[in-house]
Order: sequence, then C-alpha cells, then structure tokens
Amino acid sequence: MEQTLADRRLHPATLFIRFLKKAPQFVLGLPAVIGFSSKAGIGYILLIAAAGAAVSFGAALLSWLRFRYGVGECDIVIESGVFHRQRRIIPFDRVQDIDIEQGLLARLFETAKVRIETGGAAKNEGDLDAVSLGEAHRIRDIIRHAAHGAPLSEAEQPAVKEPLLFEMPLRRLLLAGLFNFSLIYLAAIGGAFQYLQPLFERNVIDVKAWIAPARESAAAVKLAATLALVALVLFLGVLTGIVRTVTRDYRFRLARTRAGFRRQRGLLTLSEAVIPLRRVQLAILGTGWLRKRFGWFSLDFQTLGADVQKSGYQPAAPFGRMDEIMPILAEAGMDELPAPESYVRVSVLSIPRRCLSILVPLALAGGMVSLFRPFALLLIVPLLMIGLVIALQWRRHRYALTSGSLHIAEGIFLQRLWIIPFEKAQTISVTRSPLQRQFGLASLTVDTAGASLMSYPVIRDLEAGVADALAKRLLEEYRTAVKTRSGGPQGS
Amino acid sequence: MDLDRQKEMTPLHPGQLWVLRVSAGVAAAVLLTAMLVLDLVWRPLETVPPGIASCAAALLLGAWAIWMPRRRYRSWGYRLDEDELHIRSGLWVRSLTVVPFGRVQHIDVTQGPLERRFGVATLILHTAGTRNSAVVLPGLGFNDAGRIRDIIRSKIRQDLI
Repeated sequence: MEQTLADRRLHPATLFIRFLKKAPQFVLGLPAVIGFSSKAGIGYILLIAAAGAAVSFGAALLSWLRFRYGVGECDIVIESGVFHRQRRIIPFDRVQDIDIEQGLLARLFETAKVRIETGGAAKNEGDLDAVSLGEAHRIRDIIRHAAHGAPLSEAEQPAVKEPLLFEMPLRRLLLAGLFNFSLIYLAAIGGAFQYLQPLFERNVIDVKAWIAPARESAAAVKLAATLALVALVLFLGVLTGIVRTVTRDYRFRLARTRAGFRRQRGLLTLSEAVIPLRRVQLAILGTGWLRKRFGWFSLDFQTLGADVQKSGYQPAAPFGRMDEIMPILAEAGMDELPAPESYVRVSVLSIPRRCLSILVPLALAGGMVSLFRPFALLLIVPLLMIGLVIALQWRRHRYALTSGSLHIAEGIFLQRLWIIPFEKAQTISVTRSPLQRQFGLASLTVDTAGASLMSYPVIRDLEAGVADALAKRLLEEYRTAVKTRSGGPQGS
Repeated sequence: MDLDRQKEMTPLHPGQLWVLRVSAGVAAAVLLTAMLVLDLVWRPLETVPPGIASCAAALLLGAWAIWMPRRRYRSWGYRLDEDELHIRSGLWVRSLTVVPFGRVQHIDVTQGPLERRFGVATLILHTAGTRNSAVVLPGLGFNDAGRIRDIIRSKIRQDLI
C-alpha cells in the first residue's frame, strides 16, 4: 500500500488565531511585569511589547510551517514539531470519534478545529487546529465513510436523511437554564459579596445617616438592604444558570446517523460530535429532586475514547421528557427499563455502617471542641442532617436487572440511573472494607471503559452473600451476552 | 465468586513470601534507623532515658516484619478459569476481581531485582476500564506467569469492545 503523504498545511488564519490567543502573555503580560518592577520609560516598554509580539508571531509561524497533515485511503498522517519532528499515523479503523469545534475567533475566519479521538491515553494526539470548515467536513466524511465501508458519494448529502431524535427550542432551553440554577455559583457569588461586604456596610451606614437619624428606620433600611441582597443573589444565580445553559446547549440537535448519533450545539463555540453506537458503553439517566416533579430528565452516554477531561460523558439529551428520551435509548438498545417494583435496595445496615465511618469521627471531633467552646454543640445540627442524608441515600440506592443490563439508581438531589449493558463490563469486583466486614457487607463495582474516576457505577453495602451471588450472576450474563453477540450475524 | 470456591484459589509462589519478607525487613530497618537517630543522637524528649524508645520500636517493627509478610502473602490468591481470571487480594480492604479474557487489551509480565532473586514475576492485565484498568497479580512463579500470559493471549478478542 502506498504511504500517505503529509501534503497539507493548516488554514493560514490559524496563525492569527494562535497569535491573538498568545498575545496577552507576550504583548501585555511581560511588558506589564517589567513596567511594574522597574522604572523603565514608556518607550522601552513599547519596545519590549513589540519584541514580544515578534517572538510570539515567529513561534506561531514556525510551528505552522512545520505542521503538515495528509488524508490517505486508510489512514491520516500528521507531521509536527519544530525541532523534534514527529510523524503520527492514525489508521481510520482506530478512530473512535471525530469532533468539529468552532470557537468565536474560528467562526470569524470560517475555520474549525478537527479533533480525532483514538481512545489512546495521549491528549490532543489527533487535533487539527485549525482547518477551513469545508476541509473539516471533508476529513470527517472521508474517515467516517471509510470506517463503515460506505461509498463516499453518500457523504455529499449527509444532513438530509439523518432523522432528528432530539432538539431544544429556545423556550425549552430557557426552562432548562432555570433548573440549572446552581448552588455552586450561588456560593461563589455569596463569597464575592462577603468579600465586598465592607463596601456595602459603609453604604448602608451612609444611607442611614443621610435619610433619617431615627433608629427604627435605620433597622428597616438594613432589613430592606439584606432582602434586596438576597433577591439579587437569587437573580444572579438564576441568570448564570440560564447563561451557562444557553451558551452551551444553544440549538442542541441530536440526529441518528448510520453508525450512531450526531450532536450539534453551542452559541459562541459551535461543536459537532459524532457518537458511534458501538462505542457507547453505558447510559446515565439523570434528573433532580425538583426536575423530577416536573417530569424532566437528561440522558448521557459514556463512550470509549472520549476525552477524559470531559470524563467520557456525551450528553445526548440535556433536558427532555421521558417519551423523548426513550426513543434515543431504543436506538442504543437500552430501552428496557426495569419495573419500579423490581428494584432491590441495598442492606439497611448501610445506614449504621456509613454513620459510623462518617459521623462518628466528626461527632468525636465536635465533642472535643465543645469541651472548650460550648457553642460547638450547635454542630449537632449539621451532624443530624448528614445522618438524614445518609438514610435518604440508602432509600434511593437500588439496583435491578433486566434481560440485557444492570440498573443502578442513586442520589437524592441529583438522581442518577446507570444503565450498564452486561457485555460492557470490563472487570467485576467485590470489595469489603474492615467496617463492611464487621457488618457483613460488601460493595460491587462494575468497571467500564471510559468511566470517570470520580463517579462510577457501584452498588454500595450489599449483604456479602448477595454481592457474591450478584457478581456471579453478572459474570454469567456477561458470558452469554458475549457468546450470543459473537455467534450472531453481526460481528460487533 | 462464591465464598466456598474462594478457598479453591491457588496461593502465590512461595518465593513471593520471601520477597515480602525482605521488603518488610528493609522497611523495618529503615524505620528503626530513624528511631535510633531520634533516640540516641537528636533526643528531642530529654526526659525519656536513651534506649527505651529504640527497644520498643525494635520489638514492634520486628513483630510487624515477621507477622505481616505471612498475612499479606495469604491474602492473595487466584484462579484461572476457562474464560476469566479471578483474583483475591487485600488485607485491609479485601477484594475479589474477575477479569474476563475477552476484555484484556494487553498483558505485561514484569520482574524486579528482588523478584528475580526469588524466581517470581508480576502479571499485569490491562483492560479498557478506568478504575481497574491495570489488574495486578504479583508473586507468580516466573514460568507460571509466562504460561498464564500465553493462555490469556490466545483468548484475547479485539473485536468485542
């Protein structure tokens, strides 16, 4: 087979985009530091700025000149590196995802960043940042159709016959933003106000002295100011939620393609991602305590080879009704949900076990402190709340098996249902910590490809015998699923 | 996976017990030296007569170095089934892990200097998972490790990701 030639360069606008992105460091940052630290005159500082600009432009030019790529019949070749040359060959059948992303600057120049995911550990190993938008689509279509053995001519009319599975009109988007009202953002804003409080106090005092010297009215002013502050914080919390949601999910579209899904979204940064079905490892059906009351759910897929930074999750429907989400799950073959009564709770001993491991150390520490500072007894309130949360979490933590997958439910405020097809298990393990051994409990973990290290499907605190039996059952289900799969007409 | 079959697991190669003993001995010696320096040279606590702390440390570390390797050695076990490897491990947090051969991406057999001295090797199974992406089984006889690697290698199937 002929060797693929790396004969193409990135779009020339890349030079300017990179330069503009780096400019603050060289053209503003360095001179500012020098300006502050020495008594150099304005002319000298401007000279430094110009030199910085020249150096950074030169570096961008060099790396642009030394970066070439080429798309062959069955692989893509990327050559990069100014001094240390690197030639990277990515065979098409190793490509897992191809994302096309357009930042704000890129949209101005009509370029796009192509991101070729291979499932390897190295980050950015197949990034083409940036090529023209048409070239990006060309590369994507070639790779996609080569990988699926489809004729290339089909690539010319892709958007037409892809059935739309899910989209978010603006009204829905705003509603989703309302529910995305984030406590974290609220806390951040609260923190900022804490920091600015002296300013406000002074204002309040000024106002008080200014309007009326009487004490009652001063108290009234203070109350009004506090209420106004609370209202402002709430308003900002809602606003940030909406802004965040709208910029991320603007014109969200999920379409069914030949091999999986295609997702487009974004207000400032447009992104387009392909989620191949055979790379989907599991599905997460999410909702919130309040969202559930109004019947809103979200659906994410965990895929192999997705960016680890995004923890491998691909949103398929950020905010939708169950009857919109079920068809998407059906396309992935995961629409068989267990009946509500078939869910099994973990052992009730989980409550004392977790209380012992979380509450007792805290309570002991609090007790010690309260010997010296009696008001620390107030800590009992948060401790009781933690206990309540533990009990509620036990109530929500359940699992069920269907004919094709394991389902694990968890969470109170943020509720999650993991749907793990049996044949997607990588390893199955049963672990028992010392405390769990005292209570006769065990946890069962199913490791899957692309899982995040922070949150992963685990059934905590099963009775030890139940955990062993379930692990055995999962292993048998895995064996039969793999066997029927390899014996069936389709290879994968 | 059942409890009664756990007992049928193969123990590690006896050489691994010596590997654990030597490494525990080295760790104990290092800690004891630190204690001796603290006790006889630096002496931050003047009231304690010299030698007492060192003797106590020597007793504790000695007991630990004799007692622990055996327990750690016994906590390990494995069973090679037709289509998967079962591994039991852990003294503090005990775990039982099953790796289906179809899930193995690649296999390493490693041997450190100490392991080489006692004729054992470590088998590492890499899967596409994240938490258990490298399942480690230390203390196999060197030939056993190679044999198990070859058995698993013949059963790896790349098409089922």
